[in-house]
Amino acid sequence: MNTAETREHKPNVIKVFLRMLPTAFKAEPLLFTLTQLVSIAHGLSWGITTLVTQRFFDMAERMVRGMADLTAVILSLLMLGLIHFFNQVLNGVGNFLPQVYGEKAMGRIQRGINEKMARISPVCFEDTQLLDDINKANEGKTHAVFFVALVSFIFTFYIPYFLFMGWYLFSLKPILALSIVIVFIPAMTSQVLRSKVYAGLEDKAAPIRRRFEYYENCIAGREYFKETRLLGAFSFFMRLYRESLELLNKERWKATFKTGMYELLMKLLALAGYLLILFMLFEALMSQEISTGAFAAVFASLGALFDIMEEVVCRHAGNIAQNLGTIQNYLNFLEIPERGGSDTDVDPDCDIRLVDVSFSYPGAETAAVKNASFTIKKGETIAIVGENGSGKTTIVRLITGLYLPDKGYVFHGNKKTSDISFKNLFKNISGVFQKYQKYQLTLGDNISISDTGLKPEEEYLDRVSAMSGLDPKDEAFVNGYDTMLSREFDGVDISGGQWQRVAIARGFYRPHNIIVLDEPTAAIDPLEEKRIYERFARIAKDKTAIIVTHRLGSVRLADRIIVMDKGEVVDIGTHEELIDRCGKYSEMWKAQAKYYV
Amino acid sequence: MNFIKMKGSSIITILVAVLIAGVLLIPLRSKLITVGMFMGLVNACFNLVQMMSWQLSYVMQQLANNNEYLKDLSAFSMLEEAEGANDLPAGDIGRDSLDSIEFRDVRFKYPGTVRYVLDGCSFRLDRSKHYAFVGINGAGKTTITKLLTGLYPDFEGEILINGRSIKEYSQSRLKALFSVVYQDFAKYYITLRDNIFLGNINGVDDKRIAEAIEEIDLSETLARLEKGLDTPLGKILEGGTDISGGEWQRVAIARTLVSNAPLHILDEPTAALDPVAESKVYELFGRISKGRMTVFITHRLGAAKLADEILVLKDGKIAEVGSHDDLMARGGIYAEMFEAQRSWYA
Repeated sequence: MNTAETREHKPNVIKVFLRMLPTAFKAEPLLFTLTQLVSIAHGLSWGITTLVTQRFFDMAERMVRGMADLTAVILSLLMLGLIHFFNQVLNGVGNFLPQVYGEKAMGRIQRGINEKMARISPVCFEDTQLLDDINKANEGKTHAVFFVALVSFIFTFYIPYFLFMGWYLFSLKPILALSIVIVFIPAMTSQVLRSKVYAGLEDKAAPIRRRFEYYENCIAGREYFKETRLLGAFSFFMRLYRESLELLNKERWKATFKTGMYELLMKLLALAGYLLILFMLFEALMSQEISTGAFAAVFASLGALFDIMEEVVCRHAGNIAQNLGTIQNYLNFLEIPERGGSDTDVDPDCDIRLVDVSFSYPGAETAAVKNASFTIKKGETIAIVGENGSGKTTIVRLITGLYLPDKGYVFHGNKKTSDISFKNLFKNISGVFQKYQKYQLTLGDNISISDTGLKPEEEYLDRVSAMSGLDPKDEAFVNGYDTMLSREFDGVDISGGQWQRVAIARGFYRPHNIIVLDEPTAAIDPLEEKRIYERFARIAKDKTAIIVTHRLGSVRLADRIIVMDKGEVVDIGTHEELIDRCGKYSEMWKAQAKYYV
Repeated sequence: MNFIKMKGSSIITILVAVLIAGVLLIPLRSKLITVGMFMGLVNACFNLVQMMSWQLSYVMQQLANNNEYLKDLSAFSMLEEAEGANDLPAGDIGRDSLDSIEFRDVRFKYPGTVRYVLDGCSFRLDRSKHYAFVGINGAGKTTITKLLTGLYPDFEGEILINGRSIKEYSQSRLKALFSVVYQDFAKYYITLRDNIFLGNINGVDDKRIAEAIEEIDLSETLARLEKGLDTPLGKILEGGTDISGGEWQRVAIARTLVSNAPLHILDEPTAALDPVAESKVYELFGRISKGRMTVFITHRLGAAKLADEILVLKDGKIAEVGSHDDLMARGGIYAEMFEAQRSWYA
């Protein structure tokens, strides 16, 4: 982390609080206000308990001296019971309300984050930095709610309590008000020390812990165990696992020991403070400046005073300081620029024109697509071929408008993709992608999810399934379209090839004028692959279709083939033309065809 | 609602405390106890209130939680163990110790499913020959490797290795017999040396590792790594370096290179490769597997053609066996599949 960044990340408690407060309030205005009111009452009730205890003890003492009768004492005892009762009720409600509020507010904030994500340009998601930012924002969200709650509790609970206690002690004898300071000092020192020791521990332990967890995964993780077992590598990883565990424990023990010692020191300091206050009370009692009852009441509430001080200084202030950074992350996330565009209608039957388009992924040094210019006529079937990493998938994303070019323009009809909102841009586009989603839903839902507006009709589902080579009557689908495709939800596991067909059916299901097939058949056997492409060619006749593949056999059904190499479009033409004049294409062709001659 | 329960108990405590304080007033008035003692006792009673509400319910909740964890723990430790699953591969099995593998009428279904993935599957593989298993998705190709390597012992029928039932072999001997490159091969984020070393855990010297790197075309990658063979791959260890998917795959194949296992199995390792890279992998594998029994699992028939014998799986059975030419002449499933693929390139 460089210094500029560090400075930027040094957030200010008050600033963050003021920025978060309206959000937190608006999320649940009524609950929020109620919580704060209860909190004030709760804070005061602790102080008043001390006051009433004093009254009761004073009464009891007077009764002993014959200055008060029994009924008055019992009355003040009932008063004491009542105030304890209220204190407990407020304590319960005061702890319950923030939880309810927290859940609700968090839901609201989460929704805000998700909506924000939908508005961010998809290309940002290629940047791992953004993925980190999203994670951090989510983490920040949790903390943000508690942060606001905690900071406001300082104002509505702790400050009223300490003010009341301060006033009460002051009214007994001015010097006694110093107790508040005496209680504060050990709590503060221990907090400062603790945060330093723990932070150091985490710095040292984090890489060791990551290693330790990774080795565990190598032994028993789902993606590893098959191979680890067959290689007989168990003892190898076990050794590494043990070593890192020992190292981790050593570090942990060192830190725990250190913390323990500091803690002991702090407790001694607190004890000294306790004794000091006691001494002051004793002095005041002896010189008859305060009553016995007052002495006993303050004495009794000293424990609570220390506890509450430790709670606010050590737990809450620590939390606030620790989480401030993550909340700042959340706030930063909300400021990421969004993808704009207006809701203009796009003519569904239009040519797609690329004019000198270049594009680089965020953080990448070389351009993924360089100076690409071509036109896809409406209704045309275009194949894009090239080696791994030649920019095939990127150019498809530029064509569909998912990504916007850094340089040049992509036109759908006469409109630039940068001027069209997502909603309208994708209205008539469907696609089947290499990395399709396996939703843990039923077969029918997995297909019809591509167009949630349409109510799935069995007949229509049958049609798209047939196009995709998917047979819902196959014995793998025990309940037809209602088969749950997930072992986790008591359904079935289907093979990779079956999944791929489901994904293809999903692409066909969505009404479209333009369809993209991005290497959808890698896991499908050749007979079926051929059939899918043939059916596809038939139904794509009057629709614009873009096929991305490195299996050249399947590209011959395209009207034209775009050959890509290292981000550049090296040639465009029919199969026959390209075999004759394009070196790259014929090289790829020969590499594959030689197995079949 | 936890709070109500919790506060319920503390409110009862308040009542009790008030009661005790009330009762104590009597001895106090008749001076049987001192004011100090009275105050001490009353304070102690009211202190109980806060304790009852938070600490008690916290402890109770912890107790209930831990009880549930314990249940999971005992359920886990009750799981049946496969004997020798974590053993090292036997060191004394050399490259020549495999003569034949035979499946006799093997039937198998995955736990919790009804469909037999293998349903009467019989075939025989002999030493030093190259075999290819082909068939449509779900025909049971990958399941065969899983049974062979002893991952699933609950099958019906017989699997014989060198004429003896697979059940007579210890896990450690089975491991030493096979070296597999899975489609979803593991990427171990440890040093490059250790990654290759795992291929033959009973001992590979640096010379052999260096040879393997040379053979598999990883020399350029090695030159790029800051600490050479000792550079951790991936980003888990400090100083780790990421390598590309193709390089990872070559690391996985390098593992089989250093292995002494008499049988090499390649399970659809090229699905995600472009044609030029794919054909390189086939050539490479052909070169390094000379003189060993190899099994190729694929649905790219171009690669299957390289095998001495092709076994076509259909509905959990072997439907056709023979060389490429035999099968083409027969005009069965294989010929149909091959024609389908060839027609693209004609």
